[in-house]
Amino acid sequence: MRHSLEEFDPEIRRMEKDIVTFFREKGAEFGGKDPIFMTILAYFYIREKLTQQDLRDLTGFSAGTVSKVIRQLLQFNLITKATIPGTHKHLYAMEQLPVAFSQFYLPASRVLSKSENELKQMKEELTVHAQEMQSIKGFNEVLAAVSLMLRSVPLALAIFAGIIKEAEKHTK
Amino acid sequence: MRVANLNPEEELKAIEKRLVEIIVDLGFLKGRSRKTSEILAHLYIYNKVTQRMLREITGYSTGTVSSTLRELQRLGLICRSGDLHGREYVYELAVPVSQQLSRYSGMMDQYFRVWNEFLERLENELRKKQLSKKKGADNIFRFIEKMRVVIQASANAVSKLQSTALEVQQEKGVRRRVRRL
Repeated sequence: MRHSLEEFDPEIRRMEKDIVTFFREKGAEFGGKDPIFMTILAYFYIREKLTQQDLRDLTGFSAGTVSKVIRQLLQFNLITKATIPGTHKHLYAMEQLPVAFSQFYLPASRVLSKSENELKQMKEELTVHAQEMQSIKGFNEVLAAVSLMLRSVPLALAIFAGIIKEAEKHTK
Repeated sequence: MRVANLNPEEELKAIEKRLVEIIVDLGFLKGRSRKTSEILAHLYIYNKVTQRMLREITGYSTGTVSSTLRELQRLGLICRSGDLHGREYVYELAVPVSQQLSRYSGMMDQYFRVWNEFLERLENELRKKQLSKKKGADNIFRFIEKMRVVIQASANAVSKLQSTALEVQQEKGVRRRVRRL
């Protein structure tokens, strides 16, 4: 398994750069997603298999930045890691859809559920101790933030569950 | 998970800390760093903050606080106002927390539309300029195909949810009217 970064035709490379810009800008504009993270994710969508060196060449990011984002993507199960035989280098591959979907959204749903439970606990503690706490600076603000998050987390969970279900249809 | 022997003030601080940790965890899902999420968390909680407040609460340096705020401003997530009479700038969320939910669901339709338009434009470009056989064109075609699945699945999921939310609202409305009778 030898690996070298495929050189795209210059016109295709220009399109690739447009895609990456679009991916990054729309992710930030509509989802508040981190632009560096989105840039690297976009390259995985397009190139599918990449080394850290490839990503440095494509993006111009530093080694530290690339390896930080790679760690995040691995943590989210969006990519897998394999050693290139005869080297100490790693090749990272994006999972196929919709596997990638469930592998990202299932753990993400777990994070959300865990947060939801904890927010419920916190709200209860705040309510139970409201009398002692309400005169303390920040009480109303913390209570409002907890309540608001408790309203939005179930919505996000429902969207995630819906996406997993919809994506599964595409496998058939 | 109540810690014993805390006075109310300490307990409130502990809850606030847990809230910030939750926001950090959720921020990871958006690819945000701890720093960025921590600072955003305090904007969620306090609505308006100054650099000094953020330094005191988070313990981050002047440089870290100001560069993170600059980045958040560049992303359009927060805005800066004030500096009247030489006082400090005040930072707040570009969209107030209370409006984020409704604004977000309204934006989703627009998001799916711009993506579909973009994918169509890419596909046309590949075909029109006869780039289909060029090196890398297959990757672009596969990208278009994948994104169509992603966008379609997300759009279906969101629209299902929107219609359920509407039904729930209507049902609540009916119940309210019934109660009034």
